[in-house]
Amino acid sequence: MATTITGNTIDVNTAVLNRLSTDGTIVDLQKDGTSVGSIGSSNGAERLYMVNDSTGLSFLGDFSKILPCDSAGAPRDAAIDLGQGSGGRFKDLHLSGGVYLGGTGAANKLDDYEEGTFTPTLFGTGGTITENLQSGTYTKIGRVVTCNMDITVTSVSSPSGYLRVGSLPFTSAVTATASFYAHEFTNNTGFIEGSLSPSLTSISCSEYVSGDRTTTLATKVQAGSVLHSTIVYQAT
Amino acid sequence: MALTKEITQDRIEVVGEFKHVQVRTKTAVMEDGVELSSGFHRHVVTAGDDYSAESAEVQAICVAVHSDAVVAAYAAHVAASTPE
Repeated sequence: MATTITGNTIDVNTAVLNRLSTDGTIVDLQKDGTSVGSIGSSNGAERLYMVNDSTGLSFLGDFSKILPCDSAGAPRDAAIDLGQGSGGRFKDLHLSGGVYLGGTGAANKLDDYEEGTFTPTLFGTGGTITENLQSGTYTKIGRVVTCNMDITVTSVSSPSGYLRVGSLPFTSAVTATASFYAHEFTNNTGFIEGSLSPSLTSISCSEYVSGDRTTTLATKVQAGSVLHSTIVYQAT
Repeated sequence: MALTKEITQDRIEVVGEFKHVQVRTKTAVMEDGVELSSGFHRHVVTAGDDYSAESAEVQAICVAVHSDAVVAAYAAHVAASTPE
């Protein structure tokens, strides 16, 4: 026969279970006379824990934390999983901070993930290059940024000098290299490579023709030139 | 059940020695005030850029951080970073 406790006075607790003196179990939950879990206090009544066998959660109101705990409410380190891969997953996890993976140091903290778009540009030292397609997507994981870009040139006006792909979404922290697939440049254009220097948001393009490296690539951009590029770099 | 689109600059960061102003623009589709989806678009305003088309908030930041000294230092850095 089930027992129901009903409060009959407004604004008064329906039930009070008051353990005196020592920490420990306040409520022992049983099935057929066997305990299946408990709710208790620990750390001088500052903390509440709820536990089944040795798998529980301890609520540390004095530290604004929830910890995995053992049957007595003591912290249980690196032993309890949250969810499981097959049929026991949680849905989304919403964090305003980061997550420590594989360690507890600052270097183990993943505190940023972001996907988005940006508008890459193509320009030379002189003249103008006008694009009719400037598509860029990025993914930032921690401080590592991966960018994919597609640029199509619709017209040019005497472009000259160094060629740069600009308007990256984040400032670079260290030197990185970009890979390019370019076509419809003037027909004597060689293999193109790109480098991104620290504290910049634009990639400098160079080309190799017959083993010689040249940097004045802008003159070879023409209407219809297409540039696809990928770069992975570290953001400031 | 009204669908609306909200565009906001939800993150503006000043980073690095040359005070790059990184701007994240968020576009959100809302239904009765509840966000259904969103996406980000980013751009960076570097020292010496023309920021007259930027938002008032970004302009104010650029005015504050892109001093003549910073603009000159960044121009020198770009020149020094040009491949040889």
